[in-house]
Amino acid sequence: MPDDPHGTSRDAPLEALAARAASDPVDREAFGELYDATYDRVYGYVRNRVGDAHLAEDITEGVFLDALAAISRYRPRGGGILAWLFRIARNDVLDHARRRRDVVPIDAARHRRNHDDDPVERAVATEERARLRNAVAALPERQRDVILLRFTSGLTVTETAAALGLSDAATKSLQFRAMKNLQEMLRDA
Amino acid sequence: MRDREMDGFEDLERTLRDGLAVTPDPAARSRSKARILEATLPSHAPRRPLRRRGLVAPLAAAFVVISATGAAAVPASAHALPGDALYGVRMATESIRIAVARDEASIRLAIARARTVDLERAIGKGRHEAVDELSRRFFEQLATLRTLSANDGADLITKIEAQQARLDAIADRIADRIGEKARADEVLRRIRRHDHRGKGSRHVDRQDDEREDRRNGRSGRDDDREGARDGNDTNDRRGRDDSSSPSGRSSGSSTDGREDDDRRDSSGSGSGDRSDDSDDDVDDDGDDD
Repeated sequence: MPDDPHGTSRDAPLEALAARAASDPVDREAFGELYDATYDRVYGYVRNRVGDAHLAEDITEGVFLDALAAISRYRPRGGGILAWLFRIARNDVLDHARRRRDVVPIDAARHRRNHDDDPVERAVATEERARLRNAVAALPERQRDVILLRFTSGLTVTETAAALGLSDAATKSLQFRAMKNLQEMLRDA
Repeated sequence: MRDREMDGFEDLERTLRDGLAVTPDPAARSRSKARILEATLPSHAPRRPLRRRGLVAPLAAAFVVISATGAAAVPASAHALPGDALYGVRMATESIRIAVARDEASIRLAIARARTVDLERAIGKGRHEAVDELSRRFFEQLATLRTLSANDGADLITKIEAQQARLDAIADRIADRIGEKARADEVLRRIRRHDHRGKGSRHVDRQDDEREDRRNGRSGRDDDREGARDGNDTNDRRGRDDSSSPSGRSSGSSTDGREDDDRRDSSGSGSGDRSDDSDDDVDDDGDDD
């Protein structure tokens, strides 16, 4: 997790790992470390977008397969490796949604069914979580992405902006509007 | 440093972090990592004369598609599945690799393994229509490998069996991954229809296939043509709207984010595309499990 989640710096250790992995041929050991360091964040984003745990695992695996295939051409810029990785993740989620129009982005029922044994899931009141997830699911897509990337995956503003192809200012503006919308929805619910 | 406009949202931020937190299954994460790290990646094909027969057609097919889609088509084909515009390029690339390989068996094993990865991805993505073609290609490679094993001996047979075991494992998990039983059975049948290991069931399978072919008004040969058509289906091409993205895709985003305000979920709008900024994922390293 970055030291300044609200700031704009890149995650230096991750960049170092990415630089090592990006050799030709790919340094698989370094890529494995990158996988370990980023899997939970990517999975968290994907899971919150598609709902189903198994599907999220499949898509996340696809994200890292894509990343492995492309990492040798990775050049740090903009939001760095996290933005690069989440651009792949977002595109894979969109690709899945495009092919499966029936997939509901966030589905609290699916979350409950698939992760009954998840201690975090149990720890937080299920109904409140469902309410929260439904509210996030009701946001316009890019507002939802900002919320998920910032608060589920812990990306900085700059990383989020680069992942979504936006400016930092636009990302902050989206985040602000998303938070206002969520406040209203949760107050009304 | 916090942005001042975000003041007042601290509680909501905490709620979001807690409420949206998910815990991945550690075992699934480890299995996935193992599969990813053992996945084959493109290696530079040996620069040797194109000497084997059968090379002209795949080269021509690759040239045609590359000409039509631009120079980026070859790397973009890395994960193309049947039905994708670049699937034909991928198949052509594999044919070339077989043709120029010093060790044909290793290449074919790698291709068979790539098909199992494709199968998993196709199932995961709900692209069940691709399963039949992928399974057919998988067993096609294994059939050729069996003929090669007459020269290569027991070591190759072991590797062939390892690939069969991979496919069996995928088949075993179908019911878990596809909740709807009828759909799961259909996908399983599509996988197994090309598996001619058990001769007892082969006759039944072939009868089923023939019945289905009659219903679809086509002969078995049409399946092969369908595979060839896959590579030229430019209607299935997906738009790329950001050449700076790692996958050559992006959200088609506005620069100020304003357009999003009144637009609800557009996940299915087709703006996304796979991350295909990569080469073909079959290599000729010859290693196998």
